Formats: sequence, C-alpha cells, structure tokens
Amino acid sequence: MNLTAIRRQVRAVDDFLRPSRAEDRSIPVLDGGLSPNDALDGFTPLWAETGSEPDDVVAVGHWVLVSADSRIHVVDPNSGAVASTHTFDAPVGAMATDGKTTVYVCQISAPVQRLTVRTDGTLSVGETVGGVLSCPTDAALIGGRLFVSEGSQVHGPDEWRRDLMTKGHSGRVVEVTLADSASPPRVVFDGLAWAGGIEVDSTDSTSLLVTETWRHRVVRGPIEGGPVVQVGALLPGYPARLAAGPGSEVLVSFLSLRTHLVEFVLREDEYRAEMVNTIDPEYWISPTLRLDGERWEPLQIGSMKHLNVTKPWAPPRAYGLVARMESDGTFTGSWHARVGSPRSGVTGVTVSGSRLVVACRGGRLVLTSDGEFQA
Amino acid sequence: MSRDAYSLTGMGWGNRFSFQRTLAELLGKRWMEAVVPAALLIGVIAYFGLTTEGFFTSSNGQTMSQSVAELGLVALGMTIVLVGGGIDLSVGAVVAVVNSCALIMYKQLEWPVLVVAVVSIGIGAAMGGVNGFLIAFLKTRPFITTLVTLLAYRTIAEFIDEDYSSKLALLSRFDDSWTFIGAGRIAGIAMPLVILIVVAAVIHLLLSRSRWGWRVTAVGSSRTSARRAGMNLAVITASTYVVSGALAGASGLLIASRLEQTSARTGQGLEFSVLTAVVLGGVSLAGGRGTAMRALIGTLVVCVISQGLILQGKERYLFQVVLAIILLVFAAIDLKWGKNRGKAIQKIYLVPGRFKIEKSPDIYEPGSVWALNDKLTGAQAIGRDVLDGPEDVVVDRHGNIYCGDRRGYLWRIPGAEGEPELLARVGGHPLGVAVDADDNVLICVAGMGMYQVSQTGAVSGVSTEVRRTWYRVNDDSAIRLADDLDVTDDGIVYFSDASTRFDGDEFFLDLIESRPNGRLLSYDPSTGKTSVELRNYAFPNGVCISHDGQSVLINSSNLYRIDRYWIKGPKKGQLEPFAVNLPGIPDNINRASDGTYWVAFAGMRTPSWDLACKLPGFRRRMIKEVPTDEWLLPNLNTSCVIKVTEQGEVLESLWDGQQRDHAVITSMREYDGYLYLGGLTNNRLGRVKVNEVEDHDSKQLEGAGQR
Repeated sequence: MNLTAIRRQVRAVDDFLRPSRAEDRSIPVLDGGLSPNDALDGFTPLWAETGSEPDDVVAVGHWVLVSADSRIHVVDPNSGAVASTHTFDAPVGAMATDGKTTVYVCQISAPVQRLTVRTDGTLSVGETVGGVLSCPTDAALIGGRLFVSEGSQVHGPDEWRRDLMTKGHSGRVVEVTLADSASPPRVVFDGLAWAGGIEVDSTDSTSLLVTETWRHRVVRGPIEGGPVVQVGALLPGYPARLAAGPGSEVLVSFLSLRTHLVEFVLREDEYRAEMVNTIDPEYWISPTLRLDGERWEPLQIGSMKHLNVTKPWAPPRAYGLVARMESDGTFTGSWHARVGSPRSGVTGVTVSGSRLVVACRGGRLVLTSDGEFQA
Repeated sequence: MSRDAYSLTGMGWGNRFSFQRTLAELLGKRWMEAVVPAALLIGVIAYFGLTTEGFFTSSNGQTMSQSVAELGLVALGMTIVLVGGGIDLSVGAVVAVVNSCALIMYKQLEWPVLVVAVVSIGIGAAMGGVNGFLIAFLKTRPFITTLVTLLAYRTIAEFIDEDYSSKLALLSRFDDSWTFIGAGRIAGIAMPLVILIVVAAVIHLLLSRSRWGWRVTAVGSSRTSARRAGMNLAVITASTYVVSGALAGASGLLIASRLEQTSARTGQGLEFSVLTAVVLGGVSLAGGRGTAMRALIGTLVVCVISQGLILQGKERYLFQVVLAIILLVFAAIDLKWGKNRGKAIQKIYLVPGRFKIEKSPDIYEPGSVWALNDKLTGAQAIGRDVLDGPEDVVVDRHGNIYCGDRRGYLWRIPGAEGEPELLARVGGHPLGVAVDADDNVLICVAGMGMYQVSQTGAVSGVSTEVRRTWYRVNDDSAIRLADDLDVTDDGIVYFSDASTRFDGDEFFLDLIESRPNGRLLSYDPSTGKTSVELRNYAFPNGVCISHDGQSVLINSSNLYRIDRYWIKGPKKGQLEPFAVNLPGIPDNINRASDGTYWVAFAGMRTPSWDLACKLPGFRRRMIKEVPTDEWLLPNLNTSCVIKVTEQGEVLESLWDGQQRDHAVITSMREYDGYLYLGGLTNNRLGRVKVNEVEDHDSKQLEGAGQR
C-alpha cells in the first residue's frame, strides 16, 4: 500500500466521520458582489425569434450582433429592429470584434470568417482566415491578433453537458494566425477543463483572462503562453463567456449555478457512467440552460412546487446570472434572475453604449437593461 | 392472519433484514441503555469466576449478598436523588451515624428490635431531611451542601464512636429477630437481599408508575419546564433527599446487625462506590434519567469487583483505582451518549434498500397513451388560495365537496361555486377522505390514524392502533401514515398505512428508502377491531373497492403498480397484479361512472430516479452528503390522471400540459360528469368536465365514492 492509497483511506474514514467537513463538498454562497437579486427579470426583451436560441452578443459600433445557430443578426440596441441577417454554413461558436467595424466569426468545425459591419447595419463578408476549430466558445481580438478559447477537443460546444459529466479537461486557448490561413493555430494554453470564455486583461494587455468552467474559476496567463494563475476561484457557478466591461472590469456570464446534487453525482462514478451511457442528456442530473417542465426532468425536493409556486431556495439546476469582475477576481456586482424564472442560461453579454445587452439562451431571447446599467 | 406482500418487491429473503436498521431501532429503545452495564456484569462475573478460587461458593455468596444489599440500598437512594437532578455525597456518613445509633438503641438501651429498626431509618430520613431543607428551601448547591453535611455527620459519627465504642464492645444482647435481619434466610435467599429486592421493586414502581416518580423525573430533566407545569420544586427536591437518607439509614441498620460494633471507618468512601455503581448502571449525572434496575446492575458490578479483588488477596487501594477508572469512563460515556444518542440514531435510521423494477414505458413514444395533452388545463378552481394541500377530495350525495388541508383542517364546500367552510380542525393533515352511508366523513389523518367527522364537525377517533407485531423492534401498533380509505357495502373500512417508519411530512424518506414499510388495514365497525390485511407492502397509497365489491385495489407508489386483493368470493385472501410497471407514481384510485377506474399519478418516474433506485449505495451517500432540499426525487411537479379498465388496461391519460395550475394531482373524484382534482401541495381544487351525463342517477353517485 503506497502513501496515496493510505491517504485516500484516511480521507474516506474522515469523510465518513465528518461528511460535512470534507474539502470538496462545499459550494460557496452567493454573497458580496454576487448577492442575489431579480435584476434580469426586470430587463426589457430586445430580440427574440421563434425557434432560435441567441447564443452570443457583441457590440460593433452602434449595432449589436446576435449569433443564433448559424445566423448572425444585426440588431438596433434601441429598438430591437433587425437591420440585416447573414447565414453561415456552420453554427457560429464565437465572435470577436475590434468594437468599430470588424468582426471575426468562429464557426464550429469550419474556418474563421471576417465580417465588416457598415454604419447602416448591413454586413459585408470578408475572407476566411486561419484553420478549422471544432469547439470555439469565445474569442478576443487583441492588438490585431485573434485568440480563441476552445471548450474541448473531444466534444462540440453543444455537448458541454457530456464534457462536464465525463470530467473533460481538454480545453485550450489558441491564437489563430490571421495572416496565413494555411498555418495551424498556435496553442497558448491547454489542459483546461472547458475553456468557456476569453478576454484581454485590461490592466495588462499582454495577459489573457480565461474561464475554466468546470473548475469554477477564472485564470490569467501571458499572451505568449506559459503557466496560468488563478484570478477568481471557488465560484458558486459555472463561468463561461467573458466580455469587456466598464473600466477595468470584465463581464462574466454563468451557464448555471453549482448544486450539491451535481457535485455529488460528479463523485459518484458508477451512477454517472450509467447515466451518461443510458440516459438522454436532457434528463441528466447536470446543470442546464433552461427547465422545460419536461416529465422526465430530474427533480429535487426543494424544487417541488408549493401552492403552485417554485420556492426561491429551489436548487438552481438552471439559473440566470451575469456578474462584473475586477481583473483581480473581485466581483463588484451582478444581475440575477429568480430561480424558476424563464430567463435562465445566460451565454453572452456585451456593453452597447451605456446599456447592457444579455443573450439569454435558456430564455430564447436577448435582454437589455433600461438606461444606464451602472446604477 | 395477515398476508405478506413482500414478494411484490421482487427481492430475495436476504433483503428483508438490515443489520443497520435493526441497530438503529434497538438504539432507540430505552432499555438498550442497560445493555452495556449488563454485559460488563457478565464479563466481571466470568472473569472472577474463572480466575479466582472460592468465588462461586455459598459462603462467598452470603458475603456478597450482604454487601450488595448494603451498597444497593444506598445506590437506590442515590438514584432517586440523581434522577431528581441533585447529588447526595453525605450517604456514607449517614450510614456511619445510623450504624452507631442502632447499636446504642439495641445494645445499651435494649429497645425492641422493631423500634430500633424504625427509629434507625427515621434518623437517616431526618439527616436526609436536613440536606433536603438546605438544598430545596435555602437553595444551596447540592454538591457543596452534601459535602459539608458529609463532614458534619462524619464528625458526629466519630464523637459517638469515641464515647460508646468501647462500652458497646463489652455489652452483649441476643435477639433472634436482630440476627435475622443480618443473617437470616427466606426461601434460601439471604435476608438483606430480600430486603433489597423488595425495596428495589417499590422504588421501581414509584419512579416509573407513581405521580411522585414522574414529577421527580420531570424536575431532574428540566426544572424550568417542571416549574411551568405547576410542580412544587422545593417539596419534590427535598423529598428525594429524605428518601435517600432513609435508605442510607436502612443500610446502616443492616451493617449494625451484621457487625454488631461501631467503627469510625464504617461507610467511609461509600459515596464514591455508590456513585460509581449508579453511573455505571446508566443513571445520568445530568438528571432525569435512571431506573432502579440499572442502579442494581451497577451495584452488582462494583460488589463483584470488590469481592473478587478481596478473594484474590489484592491490596484495597487497587479496588479504589479500578473504581476510579470505571467512574471516569462511564461518566464520559454518560455525557457523550446522552448528548449524541439521537444524532447517532438519526444517522443510521434510514437504510436505503432496493426493489426489482422494470424499465419505465417510454412516455414520449409517439401515439402512446401517455402523450401530453391539455385536458386538465384551465380546470375551474375551487377554493383558490383558501385551501392548502387538499390531498384527497370527495363529493357526497348532496353535492357537498370535502377535502383536507395541510394545517390540519377538514373543509366542506357546498358545491363547486360555494365558499369553503371549515368543518373541523382535526389536528393532522387529512390524506384520505370518504363519506359513509350516514353522511359522516371518514378521514385518514397523517400521524394520527382514521377519524370520523360528523356533519356538525365533531371529530372522533375510529381506528388509531393495531396489535403490535411481536417480532418487530419498532413498535408498529400506531398507525403512522394513514393514507387512503374506502368502505365496503358491509361498512368495513379498508385503509392504507403507507409507512410504519416515517411520518406524513417525511413521505419522501420512504420513497428514498425503497423498502416495503407499509400495510393494508381493515376496520370492522361491528367488532371495533382493526386488523392488518397485508403487511410488508411498499408504500400502499390509494385504496378502492372494486365495482363488484369483491376486491380492493391498492396503489403501490413505490413499486409503480396496482394490485387487486380479493376480500370476497372464491379467491378471497388472494393478491394478484392489476396494473404493473406504470410510468408514474400512482397515488389515489377511485371508481369511474362507466365501470372503469380513475388513478392519479402524483408524479412521474424519471430516468435519473429509476437509476438511483437501482443503486442503494448512491441513495445512502446522497442522504449523508447532500442537503435535504437537494435530494433527488421522482418528478413530483408533473401529474396526470389516468383511466384504467377493470382488466387493468390504461385507456387514456389526462394532463395539465401547460403546468399552470396543478403542480401535483394526488386524487380525483368523478361526480355528476365532472372530475374533481386534489393535490398534496396545491392551493386549490380543480374541476373539469369529463363526459356529458344524460341523467343524474345513482350509478353516477357510485362513481363519486359514496356507496
């Protein structure tokens, strides 16, 4: 018996005697800048289209670009009117912009495409650049260089549940060579447990902020590659896409919150293996972007309706949350939707003028704050 | 004789038993607290019996019974004081004083033996009375007070000893009855032992059966509560010291008759031995807990150790060391166990088992009978936001609607348009409601049993207990989770007791445990007797008499099946499957007007739940590691009503496809062409039209549950 095995035995005994004190069993509470509210429930719907799920939003000049499946809509942030729409060959995984006219669109398993947004809201399609990425989740344009986070090299973006429940850790950050479409992307960091979002560190333009979704943290690393350091760790949810916020802040969108049951199932290898192999992912015990009220959805005691009401303390299997984070990892504020609200599963966020625009994929709509959001 | 329904679970014999569950149930028993000292007693007897020569001889037996009696009497007194929340350290000195006084009275004053005995005990009681007065009326601390009186009484004993010891040694008096007290025998048993047994029996009765004993225990458990209950704390407390003193006096008398001499050393260190004995026996130093039996077990252990060490020729100090160690260990156990016993039981009480369950039918299969629809959406709301948790609903022949309420109410609603009126405050959540031929409402109340409510709102118990199963550790005589009921033409009530282990609000614990803990009961009004029809039934929920009155249909919420139990005819007593492997959790079942049955699904099985059901270890760890609000359950937020034929074939399913109003549907009744919907956690009853009715005849009424 080696030392590791002994340590594991001691740990097992300790866990048995003091189950509530085991190290990995606690989930941080929502406090400080992450204190709950129902701000998202008060936002105004900006855009929605039957049958499509908005995935990401970026602000380019006056316009907001909304990606939904393989289409990009150019939306007026004041009226919600769609100025133009472009359909790609493959679903759009991520968008990066210089904020003025240029947008790079990372298609899933298809090349990166350059777009130009004209002032009247029409799009002109430019050349394709770089190689093919199988699971682009977010992109950032820094000093004319394009960095893309890839969730996994095994699963596509829509298989994120499977990647989480099989404890995937093949995510990476790559730099797409814009000048030469033939050369393969340069790997900046790899071995990440789902790189769900990327943004430049505004206090140090030679560093990248990357969310490592399954490890519930945001890390920082140099643009040229090398070891990463934790910035915001032990987060109560699954951080995904990042967007530049006001000042030195970044905006973090969360897929959902962590729950004790999901953490527990992640420890239960036998159950998890059989679940992954035999059950439709829609009915797994896993975080999800929305609750459809399907009859085979898993249910937890706290989620039982009482007097026809879902209690606010119900386990948040799906949850809507966007938060503002300083580049040192401090959260300064957040926008939540109440548990049970249809506005769950925020996947994209951007600042357009003085407004916050949020892509709420779970709720199948794009939301905007009324007036200035920095109140 | 009840029928065993265990085989429905599809599991083997081995799964009937669980060591952990038995242990948890045993630990819950008060008498289990004496097991450790009793085992220790057997251990020390075996040890000294094997290692010490002359241990099992009659002379040693005589010596032992004398010392056991002398120590035991004092220990019984100490037990009463401890149970009352005090402590008496002066007992050793009382023994010494009474010993001297008894000898003076007997030898020098030559009083009759009976008078000597009575006065001796009286002196002891008076000395205890001084303690009691100081502690109870002058409110001094028991520990320090009795320590002081210990010194004072010891000084008195030494004075007497100095003055009389030599005189008494020269005097000699012979009296048969005097010798009899110390060395006589009744039916071969030494007289001191007989005295001890009689006194112990009396003390046992006093502590466990008398008003005084209960009050002493109450004061010892919580002085504040006892005072608020109106007890006279001072008198009760003082009385315990008087009894303790009197018993110490009796012990002193026994010593006097045995030794016939005074000595300043009599009873020295006795308080230490006595405390060890009672604490060892499981009498709590914190008060409120202890019995005469346990005090005697502790006394025996101490005496056996003492005598064994003497026989082995060991030094006396060794005995003191052994006693000190025992006292230390058991005082620690007393503290820890008393504090954590409940927690320990709680940790191991729930022991997930498993059932053999087939894969659920695919409710998403296109064209299946389970396809989602909106037939129940938009049901007319009755009593919205007035009702809270109408689990079951029934309509009587006058059109009055009855339903229960989580707050322990029974509502009567005069027709679907009427306002709910509170018929009775029952005190528990009514889960099953039926109306008998005389318009009395029969209800199954969670945690209480079956009750009857008259039209004037008078509540009376009908069936609240059954005969206890002799081989079960847990007392199953109470009806813990009466769930649903139906009445035959003969007036016999069949009703379900869903769980013998968990109460109404904890019904989900029974689902998680997945063991057949429930039973089907019947109540015969002609004999007033309740009997168990089916035992080891997995969460029997809805109960319904078949249309022909020959059988009872029972829903098993945990096995997702419905069974038919024959109560009449050639198959009487047989249990046969009716509908098995349903995709939901059958809750209540009722007759429909067209000769079929309505069944409510309280929720749907989910793939994740079915998988958890296959893995007891997963559920066991879940309840340990995950907070209760996050435990996995079947989907209890989507419900439906299904229609089943007499042959058990599912004809159709009715859903609230929009999930707007009825998060859970646990019951339904058909009346006059309408279906009334109840739900365990809903804020209303629902009413939907099911079929057009040509004429309003009695056959329709039969469907409404009233026979």
